[in-house]
Amino acid sequence: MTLRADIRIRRDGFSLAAMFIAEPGEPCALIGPNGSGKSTVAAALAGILRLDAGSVQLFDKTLDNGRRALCPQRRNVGVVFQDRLLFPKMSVRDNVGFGLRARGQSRHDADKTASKWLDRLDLTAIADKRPPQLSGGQAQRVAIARALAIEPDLLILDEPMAALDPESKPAVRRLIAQALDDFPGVSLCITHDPVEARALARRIAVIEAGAIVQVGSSAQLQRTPRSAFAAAFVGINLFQGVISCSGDKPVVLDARRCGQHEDAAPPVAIRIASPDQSIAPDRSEVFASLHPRAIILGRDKPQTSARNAHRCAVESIDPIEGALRVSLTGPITLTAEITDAARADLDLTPGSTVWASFKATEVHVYRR
Amino acid sequence: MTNTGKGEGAAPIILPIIAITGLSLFLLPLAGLALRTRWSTAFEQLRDPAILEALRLSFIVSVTAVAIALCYGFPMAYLLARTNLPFRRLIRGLALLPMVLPPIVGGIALLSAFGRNGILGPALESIGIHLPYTTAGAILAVTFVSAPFMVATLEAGLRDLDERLESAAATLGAPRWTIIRRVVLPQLAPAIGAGIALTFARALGEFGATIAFAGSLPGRTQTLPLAIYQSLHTNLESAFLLSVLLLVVSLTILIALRARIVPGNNQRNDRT
Repeated sequence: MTLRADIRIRRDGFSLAAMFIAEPGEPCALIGPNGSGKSTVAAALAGILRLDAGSVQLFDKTLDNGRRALCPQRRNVGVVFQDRLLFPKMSVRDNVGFGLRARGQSRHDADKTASKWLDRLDLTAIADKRPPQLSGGQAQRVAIARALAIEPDLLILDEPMAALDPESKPAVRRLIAQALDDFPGVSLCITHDPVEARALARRIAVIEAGAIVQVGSSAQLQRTPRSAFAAAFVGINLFQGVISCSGDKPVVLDARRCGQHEDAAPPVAIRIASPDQSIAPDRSEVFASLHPRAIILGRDKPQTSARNAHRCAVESIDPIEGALRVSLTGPITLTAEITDAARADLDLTPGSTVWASFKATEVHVYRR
Repeated sequence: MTNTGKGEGAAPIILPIIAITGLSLFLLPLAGLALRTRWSTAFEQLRDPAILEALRLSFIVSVTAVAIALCYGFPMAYLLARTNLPFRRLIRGLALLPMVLPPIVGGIALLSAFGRNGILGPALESIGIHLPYTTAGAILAVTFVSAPFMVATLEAGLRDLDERLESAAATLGAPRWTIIRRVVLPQLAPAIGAGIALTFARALGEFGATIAFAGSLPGRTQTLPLAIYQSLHTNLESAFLLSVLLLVVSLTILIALRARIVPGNNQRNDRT
């Protein structure tokens, strides 16, 4: 029941060429910046948009081959829309049973199956309410129950939690994760929330400017992000540059933060440990990733074993769960992670000058 | 800056003066109508068989016209609002043309098409269908003039709906007809109600097209407005009374519609 998608769509100046494969039982997340083509991918899979070329194959069924497209009704693709799109004039039960009734089931049978899904998503108590009376979290669960009730071969969740208030997110996330675990088909969750992607998906596909640039597990993405967006998504500093040797020590030269424009800052040398065997030592184009926690901040020039030290200015300080993210500018643009206590000790405020240092061994270098 | 309707946002004093003066021009004749009507004999007059006949005919003609307008109006509105019909703007213009056409011109046009010497007239007559000077002809004339109100109202109603709900229904496997029946029509109910009311009001008042195409035959084509016109020359009292009657019906429809046709008072669908 594999999904093989090669989605090519051109529309007013935007060109999408997204190729990926998704397997059943291996929930996949699709992440990418606004306007990168996430929703277009969802619409193409659901049959709301037609391909210009390429093909979408779900198990043995060709959904679209660029010339002939199966209409949405015959695809058996369940969609949980971003703003839910529940039918406002129907009860919750009728919303969930809608797909079954549309497939010709009797009201009795549809109600029976709907009840099962209402029960699973903890909606039985509100089965007779209308969508406008529901809270955001309830409406979202109804949308999921409605999509799952038709037992789709492919389930698409489009930003399933974007419209929820922060308090109801964890509970809904757990329910969705549970539902996806039990779901036997292929599932694809579009999101911009790293927590959501990690909770709901085993594989993450990164789409940028209409193309899939990386597919991997959350851990792989953290270790070897391959684009500025992917690095920001997992909260990692990412540089690109060329390996060179100073004496017999390899150094990444011309290192530039990914996504930063060439004019923004001159390139900087980053000292690294010997890269692994797969990378030729000289003049190789590489990525270099660095975890924010590996960066040490200090008021004075460090006299330590850290091979890299730069004098930077604090641009902003943002709280994240259990720590602070400090954005630094200077010869090198960095994001460091420190505790509240460290911030108090160093007396950091935006505009402060600090030394940022990190060990050569903390820099992970991999092929571009 | 938000317009609170007070303070700096308030209208200059000259505007309400002009507006109220203008309004009195509309209200004075209506008041005159109510004052000139002899209420003491109203009940007896209303039991006059000729008046009852006109009332009955008006009701039959208007209700039938509304029913036809609904049957034709929804498909037309759906095509205009939901498909990429070629020449859509032209087709919309043609469908709504009778709204701006003088009704008498509509009546003459109907004669040229369905009259005894019209394009289709002889053909229809050969199979036994006579339209001019018949109740069916009156219904045709009234429908011609009033149906565009249904098309316009339903198209606006359809455009107000979130089309993506229909896409959602399609992904759930619902055929087009099921989507229309179970998703579109229930949401369209308020627009259908407004369309019925507007069309009915227009149908009830129709005069020009009817008199040109169907004449003014009591019991067959003489609807309420035609009866009023005739009694202007014979029985002024009943002309006033019938006018009040039509006024009350129109006012009732307007009040029922108030929430829908006053711009800004339109409750849009909650898109949560």
